[in-house]
Amino acid sequence: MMIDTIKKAIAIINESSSKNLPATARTGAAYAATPSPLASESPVAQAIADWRLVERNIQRQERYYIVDSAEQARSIDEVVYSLTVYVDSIDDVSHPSFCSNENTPDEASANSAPSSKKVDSSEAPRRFRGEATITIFPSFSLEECVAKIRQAVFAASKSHNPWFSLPAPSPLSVQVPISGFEALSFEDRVKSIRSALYSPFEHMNQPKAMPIVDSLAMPKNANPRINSLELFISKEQRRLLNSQGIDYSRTIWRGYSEFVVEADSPADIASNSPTDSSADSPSNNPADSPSNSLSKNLADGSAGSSADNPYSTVELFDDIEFSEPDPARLAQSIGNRLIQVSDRALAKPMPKLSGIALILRGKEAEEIFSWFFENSRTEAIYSKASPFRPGANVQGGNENIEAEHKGDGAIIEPLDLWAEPVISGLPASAAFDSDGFPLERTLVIENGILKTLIGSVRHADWLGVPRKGAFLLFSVPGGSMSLEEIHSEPYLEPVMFSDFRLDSMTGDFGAEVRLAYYFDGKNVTPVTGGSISGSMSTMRATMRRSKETTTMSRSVCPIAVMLQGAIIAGARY
Amino acid sequence: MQKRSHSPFLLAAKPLLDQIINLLEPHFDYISVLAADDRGLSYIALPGETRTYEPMWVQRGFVFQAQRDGKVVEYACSTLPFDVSGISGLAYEAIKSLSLSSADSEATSKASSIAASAASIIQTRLEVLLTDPTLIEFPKIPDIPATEEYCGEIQEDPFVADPESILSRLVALRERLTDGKTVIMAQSRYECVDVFRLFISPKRSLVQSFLWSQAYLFGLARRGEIGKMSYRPASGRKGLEILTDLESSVPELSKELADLLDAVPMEPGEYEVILDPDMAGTLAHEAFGHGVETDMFFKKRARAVDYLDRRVGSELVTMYDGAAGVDQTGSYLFDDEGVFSSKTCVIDKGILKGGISDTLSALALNLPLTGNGRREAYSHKAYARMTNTYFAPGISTLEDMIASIEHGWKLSQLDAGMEDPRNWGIQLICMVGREIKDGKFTGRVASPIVCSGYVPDVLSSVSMVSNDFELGGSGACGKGHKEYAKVSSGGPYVKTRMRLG
Repeated sequence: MMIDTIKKAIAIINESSSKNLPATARTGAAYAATPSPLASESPVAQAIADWRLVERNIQRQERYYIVDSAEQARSIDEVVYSLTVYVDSIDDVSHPSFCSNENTPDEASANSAPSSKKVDSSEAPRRFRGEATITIFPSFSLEECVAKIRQAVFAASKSHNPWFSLPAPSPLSVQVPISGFEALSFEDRVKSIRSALYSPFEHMNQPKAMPIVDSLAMPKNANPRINSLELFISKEQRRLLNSQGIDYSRTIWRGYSEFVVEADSPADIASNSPTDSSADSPSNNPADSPSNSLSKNLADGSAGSSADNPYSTVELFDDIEFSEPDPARLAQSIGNRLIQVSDRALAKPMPKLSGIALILRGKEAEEIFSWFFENSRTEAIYSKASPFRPGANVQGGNENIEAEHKGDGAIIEPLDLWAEPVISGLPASAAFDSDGFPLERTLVIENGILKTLIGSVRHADWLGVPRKGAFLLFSVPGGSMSLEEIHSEPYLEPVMFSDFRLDSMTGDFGAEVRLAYYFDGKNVTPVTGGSISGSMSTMRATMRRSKETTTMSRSVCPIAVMLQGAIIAGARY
Repeated sequence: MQKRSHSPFLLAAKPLLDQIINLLEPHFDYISVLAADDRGLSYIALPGETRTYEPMWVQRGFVFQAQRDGKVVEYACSTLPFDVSGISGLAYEAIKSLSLSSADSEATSKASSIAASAASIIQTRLEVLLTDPTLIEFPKIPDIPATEEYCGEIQEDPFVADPESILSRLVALRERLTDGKTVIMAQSRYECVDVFRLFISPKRSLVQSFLWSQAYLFGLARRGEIGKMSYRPASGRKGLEILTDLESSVPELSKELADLLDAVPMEPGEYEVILDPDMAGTLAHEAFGHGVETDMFFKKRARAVDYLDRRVGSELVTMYDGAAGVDQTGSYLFDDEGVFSSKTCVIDKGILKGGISDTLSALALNLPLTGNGRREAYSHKAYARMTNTYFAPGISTLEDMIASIEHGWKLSQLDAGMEDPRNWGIQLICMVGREIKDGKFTGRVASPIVCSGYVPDVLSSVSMVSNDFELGGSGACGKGHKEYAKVSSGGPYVKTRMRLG
């Protein structure tokens, strides 16, 4: 019903536009505001040339657990509409907000398809397209819709971007499998997820997380356990329509859990502080704290952990997103952290290190591969945020990418990367992108060369390259080294950072280390504190990836990536 | 100055919400509703394009919180559920009819039917949630009588400004920064949120309306394989006037980007550092902002609970958090649980004094209600969150601080920070470090820089605090991997010691 209201509002605006009525962009019941003088005096009203509408209808259940009791239970019913209006104009290069790209088209698209029309400033007449996106709520009346959309049209008329067409309906190449959540009752959905998260070792079908070395026996008193856990399960009906006739619907199941696990430290290692002997080091008995009332309330009233001394415990936190009730994957995720948090309890301060490999795994490995994926997007290349160029080597170093020896012994391992519409178990799987363009599995990088740009259709048109669509998921095949081989030489392998940051434009990365494994060539030691930093601009030529792959949050990619030349700052100086 | 006006939608919805709360009250020990109707504008100028859209903060919806026998549940909805005589959803016409005079008996009767229908459905939703056998019991949520309203003020209203003028200013900004040789790409952005909130319980009726803005100018410099980025922000509970701050920053940013291309990697070690107000404010935010959020106390995840009334920093360290007391993007009259804002002294001359609370953890731990219960949106849970977090200014000058450094770095242009409330590690990442030797800048620049340390060591090493005071409210604060809240942080320049790498 609301979709009909929005379409009716669009029709009203276009009808008034065709009658050349003044563009009163600030009328209506939305908010009492003085109409913009420019808008009310404009003699020509703008028409909506095209539009795109997304309806999202979401039901969600949430539980917030402390240990295994719920602090709160919530349910959410949400409906929201996102409308983009497109307004066209012709030959207005003198307009103050006319946009020029400082690159020439030739520089931007060396390998553009001959049939694609590039942006060329010498052609005339030129069409321009402006756009504006607004949110419409189901409680809007028709009057409110008209007022808000009219404001959006006015704003869109002030943008003068190169013209592009919206996708038209076309057959979809892939189908997203129906989620296993559909077949379960609400109670069973929560029950199956809770069971996997709270009893992970019953569900794990893989051995303990690498690279746990047998000599690192789990301390008998570590007592790894869940401190707190949030669990969300949502079902969303999403519908995409546009003025070209597209009307696609899909159901998105999204499960999400953020969890904190903790373990007890041995009595003589209470923290990762370099100043353990300070006079103000924490008391081992909360009752000794001056704030007895607070501590007493904690002991009496809170549903906290079972440790007698909560402040010599250590913790790790993590999250996981899923679209299937996949107990094994969920159990693996939390089970690995329960094993690692016990190692954190034993961890020594990280020494200052140099000249050894940095192994990133899991989410951080995915971030490294994601850097290549994001910089292959049409929007990143068009805006020059990306350092890549179509047809060029994305791994730096020699233009002729072959596996070769360099003088210093470093070997380049050429990268392949695929854009994927669907990956089993990931909520971002889709048969079409946010513009309605159909998605098909696409080889983006082959043997280190950027073969095909993916990304928004407008930027593809502006670059003069074929439209491939804006993918959210990708895959990278395994490399030539097994995990065992990668771990055969000295390395530092962080498995938990405070907040790993990789800048997509510069390639610089860094973070403080909460838990890492240091192999000195003989022994593996858990270490904590300190930091690592580096840059993809200098490290991408020599990076190696594991043969073994895994499903992460938006990809299937190698479990580990090995980088040379990182700066490793120790925890003590 | 122009005063904001309240959302007509919320004002029209209020009589209906009052009726719904009255109908629900007999069934629960506590009941309340928060209604939100935040609107916003975003403008961006990129190479080759401009766009107008809305920021992530735009929302319209309701969240009902109920308590029975100590158990707390919430039902959130974008539209009030009712189905009366073919009306489904909350039609604006239906709300308007409820605003009619009570002399109109037909309207009054219609209003009562709508309210009863909605209350019945909401009650059912809440009671289903209450059947969860694992729910913890909390002390009863208080409902203290109060009626208050607040309207903020700004100079230049972005909702009446011509979009063309805004886009033109943004395009001009990025074109001034882009020289095509060193700075190959720039983008500029302006966004604002008009915040409208209504909180109703049987005894409280609170409404607030204010606008905040933030703007950015980013630049990317490249030379060969090397790319370096930096930016300038502007923010406040202001309108378009913040763009003037950005326009005056272009020459300095341009020079900084050129300097960054010659940046060297940081030689890892422990150094004397001077943190600019943004970096220092983030130190406060990460160290004893997140570290004293009392929902962490309740989960036994905060070491700070064992350090109350004990020393955690030098005598020069005094730190506050509060939505009251300063005016920035983290300021408001009441939080998202209907608790009035306050100003909390977190650290007083190095002694840890107290935390910042949401309602449930404060009740469970018998702590003061500080008005820090905040939601990312009506559809999200409330957590104990920061507001405006800052160190108090001192008496030194920046020049004296630079002159005092034997070998260290002046750090600026924050990228991000992260906390570890349990184990007291801290991470700050910044884009610009300028080397100081023997009290003078050497001209060397390092970028990026990962700063880490053990919080009490960093705060105990604070040896100078400047007499400046700046607050910055651009960006957002996350809790864990999600739950964004609009905050500000800052204060003076601070000299201390940190590990850099």
